[in-house]
Amino acid sequence: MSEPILLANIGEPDSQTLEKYRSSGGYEGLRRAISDMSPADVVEEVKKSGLRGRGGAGFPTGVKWGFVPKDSSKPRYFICNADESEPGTFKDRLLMEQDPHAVLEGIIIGSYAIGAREAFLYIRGEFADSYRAMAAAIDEAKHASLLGMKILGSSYSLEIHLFRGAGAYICGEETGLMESIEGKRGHPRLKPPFPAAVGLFGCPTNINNVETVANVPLILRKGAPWYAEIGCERNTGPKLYCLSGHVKRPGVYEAPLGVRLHDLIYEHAGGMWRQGLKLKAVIPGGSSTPVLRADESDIDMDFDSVAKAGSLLGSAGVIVMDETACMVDSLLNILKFYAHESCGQCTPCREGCNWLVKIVRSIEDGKGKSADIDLVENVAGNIMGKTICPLGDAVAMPAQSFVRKFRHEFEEHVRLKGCPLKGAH
Amino acid sequence: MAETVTLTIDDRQITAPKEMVVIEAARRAGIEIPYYCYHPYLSIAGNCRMCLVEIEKAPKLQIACSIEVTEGMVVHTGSKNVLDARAGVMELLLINHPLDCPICDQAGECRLQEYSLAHGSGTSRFEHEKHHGRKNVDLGRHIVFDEERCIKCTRCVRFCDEVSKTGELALLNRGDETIIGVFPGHRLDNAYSGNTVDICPVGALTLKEFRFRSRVWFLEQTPSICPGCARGCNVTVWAREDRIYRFTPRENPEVNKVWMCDEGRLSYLPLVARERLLEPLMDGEPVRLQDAVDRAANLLGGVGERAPRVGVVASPRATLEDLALLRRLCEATSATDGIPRFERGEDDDLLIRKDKTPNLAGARLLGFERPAAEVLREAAEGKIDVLYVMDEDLFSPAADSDEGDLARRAARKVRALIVHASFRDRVPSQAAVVLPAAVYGEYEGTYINFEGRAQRVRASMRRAGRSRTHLAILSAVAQRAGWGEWAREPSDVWKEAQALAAPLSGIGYDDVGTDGVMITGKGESG
Ligand SMILES: Cc1cc2nc3c(=O)[nH]c(=O)nc-3n(C[C@H](O)[C@H](O)[C@H](O)COP(=O)(O)O)c2cc1C
Ligand code: SF4
Ligand code: SF4
Repeated sequence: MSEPILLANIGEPDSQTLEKYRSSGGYEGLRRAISDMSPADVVEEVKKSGLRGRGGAGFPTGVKWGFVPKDSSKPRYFICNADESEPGTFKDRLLMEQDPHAVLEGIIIGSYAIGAREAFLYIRGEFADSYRAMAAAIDEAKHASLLGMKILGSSYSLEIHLFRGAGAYICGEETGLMESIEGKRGHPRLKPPFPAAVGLFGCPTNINNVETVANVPLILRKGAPWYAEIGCERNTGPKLYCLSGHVKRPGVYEAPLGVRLHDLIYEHAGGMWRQGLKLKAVIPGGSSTPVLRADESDIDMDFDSVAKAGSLLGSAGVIVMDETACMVDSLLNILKFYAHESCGQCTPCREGCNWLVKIVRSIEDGKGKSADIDLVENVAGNIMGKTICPLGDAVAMPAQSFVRKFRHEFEEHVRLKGCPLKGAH
Repeated sequence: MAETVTLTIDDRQITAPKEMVVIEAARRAGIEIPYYCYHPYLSIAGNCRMCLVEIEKAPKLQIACSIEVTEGMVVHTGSKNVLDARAGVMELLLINHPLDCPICDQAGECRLQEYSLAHGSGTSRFEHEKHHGRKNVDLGRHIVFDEERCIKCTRCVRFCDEVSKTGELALLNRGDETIIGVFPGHRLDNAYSGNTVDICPVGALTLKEFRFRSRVWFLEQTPSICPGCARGCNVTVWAREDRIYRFTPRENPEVNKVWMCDEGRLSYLPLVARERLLEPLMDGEPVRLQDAVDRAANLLGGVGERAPRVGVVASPRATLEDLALLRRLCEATSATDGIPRFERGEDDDLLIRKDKTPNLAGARLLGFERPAAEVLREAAEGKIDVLYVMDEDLFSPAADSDEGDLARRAARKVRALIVHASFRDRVPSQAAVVLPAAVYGEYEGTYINFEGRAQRVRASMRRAGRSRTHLAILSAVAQRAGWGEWAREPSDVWKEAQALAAPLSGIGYDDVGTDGVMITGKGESG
């Protein structure tokens, strides 16, 4: 196991304080950016690092920053997305609670790069500790002239607004989040226009995930070439993986992008939690990503490799299931979440999610017919790719993959008129 | 000319203005792409997903209501992918729908019904309990809401946000429990609420004044003009058996876009509610029309010493043609004339005008400018022998106290009062002759709105009883009085109006058409 980079501070006493953060090189990246580099240089540096967004889609961060128009007469905004609500994902809160200055420094550098004078940190409503830690860090940074007017004596000023969500998963979707900041229902917007052109309050806006911005200070401090050495081709840098489910030591683990999934499960997380019970399935990237059977799961955990294996790295929420997990019940559990969180705006997701719940529940309860199994796939197909925001896909992908990969379990439920694993856990 | 692009839709080359959305470009080329939430006068919501089409090189289906045309774009609206997606959306829209068409007021004009025939699969694979919602929700003064029928297209919400700008409606809850509702303590009571019913693509929003009155397919539609105020919103009049059942707005981008106000929408109600005057009266007693016309002609006639001093009060609710003949009557009798104002409230910045009459500008064009009060005052002071009043509402106790008062005093003072009246309720007992006049919906002609646009009002029913149009009454009187043969058809009277009002020259009666025409002389300018 390599030395942690992102988690280097975490677990240390007072890791959340400015003093501690600075003692290990904190805010050096910001100093370099602001005193030695133009905003365009910073964008270039991040492009060269190869950093890809950690919020789910893996979009190259530097390229995204480059989309924000330089010549707009409107203000530009930088948003850090800390709504972290995808089931199986719990990395951002760790960074905010224990290393808030890394997140803050990343936001300041990113804001400088795109020319934003105001930044927003949108924190999931339930994350009270994250909120407190970030608010304290902002205070400290302001007193140390790292934030506010004339940062580090330069001509650059930045104001950061902390914003707490009200507990809706959909407010993690970038445009739903912007609506929420604007004081409206969290309804995702149609794209185009994209936020880089028309974002928060109609102004050019960049949005990045917490973990994404936490990588930025490292790149600025140690240089893009150093950063690009970590990980693998086109998938550079350190990554946080959230291991949950039937493993011995669930938790957040850092490894370079491209780590073997089995290394994560069997080494970092200590293997299956109960003696003699074998791995059945893994969801590699948060509950919205397609499930992998055990025999498909010995893969590299980077954006491209997981995609090649038919799933997605997503938010790297690795959910591990052993033989006692009922795939029908697991799918039902996932579907219930999305049916509850669907914003209700567009037809396929609004109507389809709960229909899927009803069908899968009836299969789990032993009232299903074999035609229902195809119906799950088909209804999911009528949602997939046909909605306003990707939440539709987030419900369709698990539905389709669970049925395709574990069809025999669905058939067994129909045949036996019930769940053979009920009570086996 | 705006910049254009050339694209291909279903193998057809189409040229369309840049920035036009695909759904409009297709429509212009005669290719209908089905939709629910899209509305050309509202912002794009893109939520129904019915208009998904295939665009070559795009990774997935796109909604035609929000994708703008681009040069060389290739669109397929009928490929298998598209048809499957549409059937999928239809199925999803119907799983929680009550399918209560036989008792639904929208039947006949429901897009859900139409599209399930065209794009649905005919069977449902949904075998679970439907989501139940509230029925008959009293949303506002005029609006009833059926939660179960709503497809959450948000047209009504967007209307209240963007057009009436009153923002009463919102989406509430999430997922399949999403519903439309009002904010606590509020009601859907804006001055334009009826439009939400028109744009609701299903039977979720209905108008209290129309619901259950008639199936729409029994009603005959006539393009006409709302008589409710000086805007002259273009409307469709829905009538059957000499009775108006509803007004709906008719598109005219220059006048009312596709909207109208609630008051105008319901302005036909008094026509149904008030008791019509069906026969002429002389001194309060029913008589033959011929006798009444004779008497009126006699009272107005006479030359030299014996010529009576005549006062005429015109009506801004009469058509331009009616008023042209009234002008001739004024000339024949050397009458002094005036015109009343029926004003209430204030102009708003959408449609509503405080002038509650449809043709004041037309009346002014024909020289009816003096306030009616002046004529009435002269009459009340005994300076007028015969008072000729075109609109009995002048005497209404509800009318502006000043004019109403004066009118009643004048009625008592003059030697003879002649009135055109459509209803019994406001006719003063002193009237020597009351001539039964046709009401809105029974006549054809021209109104000129406050901006100077001539618009055609059309008949959608037969005249009740022995009532006659104003112009028919006037030409009958003229004939009996020996003033010659006056035209009786609006299209012929138009020529007389042209002779009286220069701005009308060069415009033919038929040039007014269904969209109206601006006349050069400005109407009322504010
Ligand atoms: C339904 C939905 C929920 C999302 N929730 C989050 C979230 O909680 N946190 C996050 O960073 N990104 C979330 N995303 C992704 C964001 O829309 C956006 O892509 C991301 O914040 C971009 O950051 P990145 O470029 O740094 O990856 C969500 C997306 C969807 C469709
Ligand atoms: S896909 Fe679901 S969550 Fe996304 S906009 Fe549509 S209804 Fe809302
Ligand atoms: S009430 Fe009608 S217009 Fe309003 S959202 Fe429902 S279906 Fe659409």
